[in-house]
Amino acid sequence: MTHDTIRTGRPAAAQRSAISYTLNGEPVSCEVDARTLLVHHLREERNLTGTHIGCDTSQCGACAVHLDGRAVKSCTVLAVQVDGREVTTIEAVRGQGPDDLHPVQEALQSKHGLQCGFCTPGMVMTALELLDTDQALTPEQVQHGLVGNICRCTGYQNIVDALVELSASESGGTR
Amino acid sequence: MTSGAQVAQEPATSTEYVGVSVPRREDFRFLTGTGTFSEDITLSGMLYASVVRSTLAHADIVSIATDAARIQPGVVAVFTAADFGDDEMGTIPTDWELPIMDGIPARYPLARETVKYVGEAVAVVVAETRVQADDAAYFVDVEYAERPAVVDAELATRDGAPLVHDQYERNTSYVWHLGTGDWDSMAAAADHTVDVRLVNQRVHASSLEARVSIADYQVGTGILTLYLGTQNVHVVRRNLSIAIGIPENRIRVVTPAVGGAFGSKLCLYPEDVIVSAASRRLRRPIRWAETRAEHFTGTSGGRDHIEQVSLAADKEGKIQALKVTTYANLGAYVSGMGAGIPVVSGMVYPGVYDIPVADVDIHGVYTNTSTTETYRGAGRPEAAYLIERAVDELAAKAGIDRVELRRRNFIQPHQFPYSNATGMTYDSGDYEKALDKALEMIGWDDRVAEQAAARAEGRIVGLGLSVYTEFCGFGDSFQLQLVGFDRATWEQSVITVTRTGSVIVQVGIDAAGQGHETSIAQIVATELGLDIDDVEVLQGDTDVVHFGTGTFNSRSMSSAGTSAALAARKILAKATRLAAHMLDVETDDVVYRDGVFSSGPQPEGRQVTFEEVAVEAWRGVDLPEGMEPTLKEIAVFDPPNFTSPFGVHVAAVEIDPDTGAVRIDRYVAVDDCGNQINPQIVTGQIHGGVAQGIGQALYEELAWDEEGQPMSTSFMQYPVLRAHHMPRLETGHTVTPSPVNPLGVKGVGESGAIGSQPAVVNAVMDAVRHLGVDNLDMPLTPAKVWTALQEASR
Repeated sequence: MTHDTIRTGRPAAAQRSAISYTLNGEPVSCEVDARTLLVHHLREERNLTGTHIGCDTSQCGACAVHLDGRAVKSCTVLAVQVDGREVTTIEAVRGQGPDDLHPVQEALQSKHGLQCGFCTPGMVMTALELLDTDQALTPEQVQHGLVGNICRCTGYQNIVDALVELSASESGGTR
Repeated sequence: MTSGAQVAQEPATSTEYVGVSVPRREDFRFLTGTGTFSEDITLSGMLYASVVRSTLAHADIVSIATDAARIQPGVVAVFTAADFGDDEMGTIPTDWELPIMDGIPARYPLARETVKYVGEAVAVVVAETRVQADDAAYFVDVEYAERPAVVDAELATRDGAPLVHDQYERNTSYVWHLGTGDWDSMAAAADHTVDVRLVNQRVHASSLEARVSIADYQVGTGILTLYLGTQNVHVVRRNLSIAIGIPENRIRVVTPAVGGAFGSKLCLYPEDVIVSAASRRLRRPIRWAETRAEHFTGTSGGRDHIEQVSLAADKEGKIQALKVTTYANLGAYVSGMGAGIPVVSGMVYPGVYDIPVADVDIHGVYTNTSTTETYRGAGRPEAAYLIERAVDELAAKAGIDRVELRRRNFIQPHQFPYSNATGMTYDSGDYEKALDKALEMIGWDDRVAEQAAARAEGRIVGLGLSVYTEFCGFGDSFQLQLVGFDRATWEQSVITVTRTGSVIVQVGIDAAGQGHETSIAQIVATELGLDIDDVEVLQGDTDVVHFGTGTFNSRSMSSAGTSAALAARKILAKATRLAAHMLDVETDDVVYRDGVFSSGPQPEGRQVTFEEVAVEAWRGVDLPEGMEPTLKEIAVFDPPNFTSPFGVHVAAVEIDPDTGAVRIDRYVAVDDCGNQINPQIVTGQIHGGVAQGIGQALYEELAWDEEGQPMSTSFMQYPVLRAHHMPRLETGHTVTPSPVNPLGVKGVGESGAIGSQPAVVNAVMDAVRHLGVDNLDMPLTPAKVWTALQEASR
């Protein structure tokens, strides 16, 4: 193994590009390096540190955000790619008031679906998409829906239970 | 033990928080992305570090050319070991040097003459941005002269094996003997003996947050602040002080939210020292954030034991003696508590069984791999796996039912405190009770009948169980220091009651997701009879909490929880005395409940509130004779012994004959951690521990090839469990309070990872043994199981 394989980042001339996009409902116009990943842009340039980096290789889902309403791993998206699009991060996920939790967040808390909390923002963003259905989800559907999100603390069961229960209540119990 | 004054006979509160699943106060920040983890911290003028690492497992460093890197855009400095003297960047201390070790090999944060594992730091590039630092690191050119490497701990002990450290004549750092009695005569007289060779592979905690260090040296004050995710700010402060030569009172260590640790964030790491020394030199803050690949290659893993196990038993299956030879891989250096873990593992090799004779040799061995250290269970998973695998083999060979065999050998409840043959004292236990509960939960007899029917259809099914005990809450200090343990065993809490009656608790532990803020608040609010929201718990900053021992060995409730309770009792004793003075009655006549002191049984008596007493204590004008102003107390609890959690795990598995894939159909865990502070958190800890244990049993292995090149550098090669891999966990508990602390708690953070591997592997072995497979080593990957089945059927 050379150290090329044990580090992220690749030498490249810094090429700047202007982008305009919607971030958590607000317009943003800025310049970014051509090679800057969305996750680095959000964390380092927009100071939105709720989106986390867990693996560098698009396997853990800690960096999940919504791009035009779909959950994506923001380490697989270049910042320049969000030009003209809509990005939503965990910082915009709330209940009615600023101190209120979204039902997905409430469900995770009540079932103890988080411990260290590092995977949690990515889990929430993925779960929001997963629950965007009229159908009540089965445990198996939720388990497979979370296949791209690693949690090292909870063993997943409480997360799955939280989402299954929430899904059942939101769909009126139809399956 | 520090004894707290017993103030009230009646509980101080009608709202009992202890034993209740109080929602975690930590959750809001994490659910909303507002929890601050180390890498979320940005300091003014901050620089970024990228570490250049060894690409060879063993080599002499011929030269390091840094000129090309220095001229890259944004680069502020490039440092190698040659840039720092011992006074600026000395060796990294360990926390456990066994007295029989011939010293420990010097581990410099940046390698000097040689590198000894792939991933060892050789240079650091500091630049204005992370990207610039990473880019420039490619221009650091290290010339190596390669040397032969050794990876396997047993092979490393053979004659002619490459030497990891030139100054030693062999790679064996120590051979520690445990046990008493004569194995040979017991074995000669035995009706049954079994011999099993087990490999407990290297695994990696791989918390989802990798490591991050931010050093901020302030030249005006001479104070160095280090922000990092650690389980243990005070040990980091001490060891950093030794390594870098800044006195402890001018080092501040802060751990914000920690994204999982599981033992891997317990020691001082090279990068912590590197950024500290570089920040001191450059007089600017520097952040280093580990990549996942660096995490797998540089952050300590756990286990990596090769064990030869023998049992001798009489006709009824009563085990007379245990013999074990263990080769424990220390890695290239001694990290933190790494040297001691194999030894304390040996101290629980007899497990839950009353075995009179033990003959155990533990070989601690250097290899050209990254270091091993504490990882969830740290020695007890190895021990439970060893004895539970061996007991199943004995049952199979002797033709005795494995449940019955275990019952015949259990240490009985009346034998506690029980000293086993390898020198460990268990505080309390009732293994039959937990076993009966687990068997009932899974419906053992029905499952056995189902299994027979399934096998008749040609399906490959198995049932497995493990009964474990372990040790938590490190103590006593005297015994441990005799074996070279160089950490404290006590824990401290300081409680301050403010002018307005709110309560601040400073505890010397550092949470990484366990919910300590909630649990400690539950304990203190219950002791003080206050609303839990009136209690704030602070940890993880050496300027806020001046002393502490940290979070490891599932000790936070038994040690910090106890010290918090004792400090609260001191507060209440003083407040009661002051209340008596205010009410003009004798202290013994004061009744306290729910924040109100009364001059007699409530509600008839005159009353003062806790807050009014706090005000009076703060004013300090009219106090009882000799009383100092303020309500502020410290309690330090030093446990007189370890606690001994125990439990029974049962797994039912089916193997796909076409692929060898193992599916867990049922999983029951009955765990006894003594009294529970927060049952929901307790069960959550079991879930997480079992998940990591199943991960080790079926999927995970941190591997190197023969040349010492790492083969597991991402989540692709190191497959941690994902949601769909998890069976439904059916959890139950028995409650056997610990006698060694006043809360009666034992600890639960690691139990799940201890009971699970043997249960799963025993289930798989049960499925395949009758097909001719006589041994399997973890991880039981489909390829491994399928191959074994093919070979057995030939």
